[in-house]
Amino acid sequence: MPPRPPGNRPGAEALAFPETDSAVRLRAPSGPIEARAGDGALKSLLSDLGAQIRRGRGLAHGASESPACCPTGITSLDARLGGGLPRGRLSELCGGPSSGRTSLATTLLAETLARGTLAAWIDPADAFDPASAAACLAGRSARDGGGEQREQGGRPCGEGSESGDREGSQALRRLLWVRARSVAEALRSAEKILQTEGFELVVLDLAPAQGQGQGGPRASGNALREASWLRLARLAARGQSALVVLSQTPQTGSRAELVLEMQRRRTRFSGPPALLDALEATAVLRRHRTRPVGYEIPLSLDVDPEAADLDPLRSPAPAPDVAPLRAQ
Amino acid sequence: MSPPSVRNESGAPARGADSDRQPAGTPGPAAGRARVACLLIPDLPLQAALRAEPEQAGRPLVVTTGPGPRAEILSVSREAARGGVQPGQSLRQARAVLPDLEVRIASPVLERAAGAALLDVALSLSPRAETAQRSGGVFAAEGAVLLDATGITALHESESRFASILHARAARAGLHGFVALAASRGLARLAARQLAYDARSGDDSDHTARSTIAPETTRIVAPGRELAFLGPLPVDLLDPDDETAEALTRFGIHRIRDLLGLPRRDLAARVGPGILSLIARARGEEIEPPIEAPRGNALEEGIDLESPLANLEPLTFVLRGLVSRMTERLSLRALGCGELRLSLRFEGGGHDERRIALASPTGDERIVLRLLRQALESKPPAAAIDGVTLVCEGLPLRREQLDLFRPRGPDPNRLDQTLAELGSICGSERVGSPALLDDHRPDAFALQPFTGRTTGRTSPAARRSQGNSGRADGVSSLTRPRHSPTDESPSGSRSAARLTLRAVRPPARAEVRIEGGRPTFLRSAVSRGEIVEIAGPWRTTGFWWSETSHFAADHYDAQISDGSVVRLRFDWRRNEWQVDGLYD
Repeated sequence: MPPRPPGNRPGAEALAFPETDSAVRLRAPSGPIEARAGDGALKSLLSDLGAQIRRGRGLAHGASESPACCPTGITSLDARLGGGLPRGRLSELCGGPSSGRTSLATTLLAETLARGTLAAWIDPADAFDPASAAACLAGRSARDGGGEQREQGGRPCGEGSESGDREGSQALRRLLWVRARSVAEALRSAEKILQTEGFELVVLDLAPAQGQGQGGPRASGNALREASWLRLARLAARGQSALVVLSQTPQTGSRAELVLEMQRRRTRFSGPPALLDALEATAVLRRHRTRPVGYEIPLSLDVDPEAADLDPLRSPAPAPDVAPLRAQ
Repeated sequence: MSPPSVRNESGAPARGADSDRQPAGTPGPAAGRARVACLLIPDLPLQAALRAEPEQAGRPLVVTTGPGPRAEILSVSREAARGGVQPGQSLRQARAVLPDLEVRIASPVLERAAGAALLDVALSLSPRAETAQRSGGVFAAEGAVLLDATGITALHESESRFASILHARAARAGLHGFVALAASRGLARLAARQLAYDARSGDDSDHTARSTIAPETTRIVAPGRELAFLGPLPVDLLDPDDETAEALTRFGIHRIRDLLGLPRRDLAARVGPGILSLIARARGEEIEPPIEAPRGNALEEGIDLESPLANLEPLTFVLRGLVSRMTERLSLRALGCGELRLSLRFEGGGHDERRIALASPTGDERIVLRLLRQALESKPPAAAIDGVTLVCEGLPLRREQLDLFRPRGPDPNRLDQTLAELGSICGSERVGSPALLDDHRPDAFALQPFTGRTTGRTSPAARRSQGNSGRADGVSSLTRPRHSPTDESPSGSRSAARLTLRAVRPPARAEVRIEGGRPTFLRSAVSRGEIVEIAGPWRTTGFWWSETSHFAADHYDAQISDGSVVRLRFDWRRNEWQVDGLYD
């Protein structure tokens, strides 16, 4: 018997041929090997190799299936999330009132629409504000346009804003807004939209409308069941859509690929005269299947002075002859 | 059904290649001369009924003018004719001969649809086709279309081959008829009519001799052989009026040959001037305008129901038949279904008209049926229905052209279906794309139909960023915002994220405490607490001339002690405080 090479396990010694490499050993006639090694050693070897092969296949499979992302346009957040919110997965943005969750979702929406793709916003609370979305899109387009112009040698400032407005209005045509009357309708609508397979982003806004209380849609009925989330997650995976659920408290449980909790830090006013300037918030990564969690990303949600022109309530200057207010 | 046999005007089997097949590249026998094809259905009311109820094929069926026993029979099926039933009998007489007779009342809607389908069959093979004028008398049940077949041998192997294809397509559309090609409209129709006459005579002889020879279904009248073809035909095929027919019978003129052998002037003096047009028709000398391409692509299918339908389920069954026939006609013309107009006639009078818009033309029967069903489910008919008409605009099918710089959108057909389903779930007025209005009213927006078109202009930077959005790391230098450093530093400079408002619809009524002319406390369903900081007011007012649309309000941005930041307003018209949005 040839000397046993160091490191070989006792059960595999019959397979050791020092003068040959492992590939030759595996291709050796099975008769003598079986005769010398027996079933136990061979099974052990095959199980080892099988595990390695499976692990290798799994790694390769994982690498090829790393999900594409919908970038939010906020660099620090995208970097932490690995590119943005994953497509083909269910993500959840949760937080209390004025925490910045809707602003983050609208920013994501603007980024998606500006790329020329389709998006859907399912809105059982009827809280979507088209003026805010248009302002966000205009601000985003003006930013891109300004950057482009600077690269090309500059241009007057006003032109970027106008083209941004135009593009913002055009981009809103690529948004499907479903004003569902209940959460059950919203879930059914989400299913139908995801089945269509062509919407890059589907936002399901389950944050409570005014007067619904803290529990939100979950308290309003048993419509939100685990099966619904499972079905929606599968449909999102099939159509490679990023499904984003907007909520007050986490709703989707283990079906979420990512849970981002928004926390309000402070509100900035400037002046005089006093003007709402920005909302400062923190995005806390509560859950991520492939990345470390617990990170806090500070965000500043500004009122864009350029895009605010679209908001009729902000465009006129304060009225000089405001009548005295009446007490209730 | 046995394959159609083809014969030429001399009665010898044509067999396509033997009679008029030409070598490739050489003009056919009719090259340079006008050629007209006629597709003739001898019993259009019967065929129209069978087209709507194909399961009745092979059964003794008659079509009558009305429901009563005295109603006249217009058209009989071959099985009914074998049982001894003939057109012109009353229904009572027919039932006496054949008790288990299936009876259908002639439906103008069905006949119109069958006639239009006949034209669609013709248009599938020739761009110029027209519906022939209906005849009277014994040929009143006849339906025919005429096609311009000039130079058809350049596309098809031969004229007889073309005729066979035309006959087969009509049969596939549920219309079994006869096809003839000749030099003029009248001649082609005459030849087709003679085929039908021969087939009927053959049926009568089959009834006694049980012959198994298939009837001729196509005939080619070669150029220059018109007179030889016409000579032996009975003069009745020229469809003379009653007075002329009687005179011809009195003079012993039974064949067209006899008619053409007589001097015209003398004949006109004895029979009347009407005989001249008959002679011109027999000689193929009628002045005919060229056949033109039809205008418009509206397709109509309909049905008159014998018993009213009150439920959606049987109505869907009826619609399935209509849609199936319609999509078949559309496919013949290589068109897709555009906008649909559904008209429901109610039992007690009145009707319901609906328009169903499609984002893109489709030829898929299931999609059209599903859209119709969704429309009916979302708004069920108000009464029982006894008539349905479906009209669709035939549009060229849209071929999807992918764009190098834009991602592929959803399948247009599937998107249509989804939008219809969403409309059914939430209400069609609650689904669409938001559009801002040029209006200073708070929360002014419109919901416009969502088309799913991705043709909107995208900025160059956005186009460049598309290819990078799917990177595993996701952070592309091209997508990096210009003001990215400020994202992490809340220093007051610009950020990529914008503050967004959550609308409160309708605005929530609020109670506000005023101290020193400023709001200091808020209580509402949205938020409650001390007002920590406030900006405003901004006054908006408009439509002062209108009682209903007039608005006037002072708006504030307020931070409340419970953490929320709300948009507060005082409505001067209602004289109340409201919260109409939450900054989130």
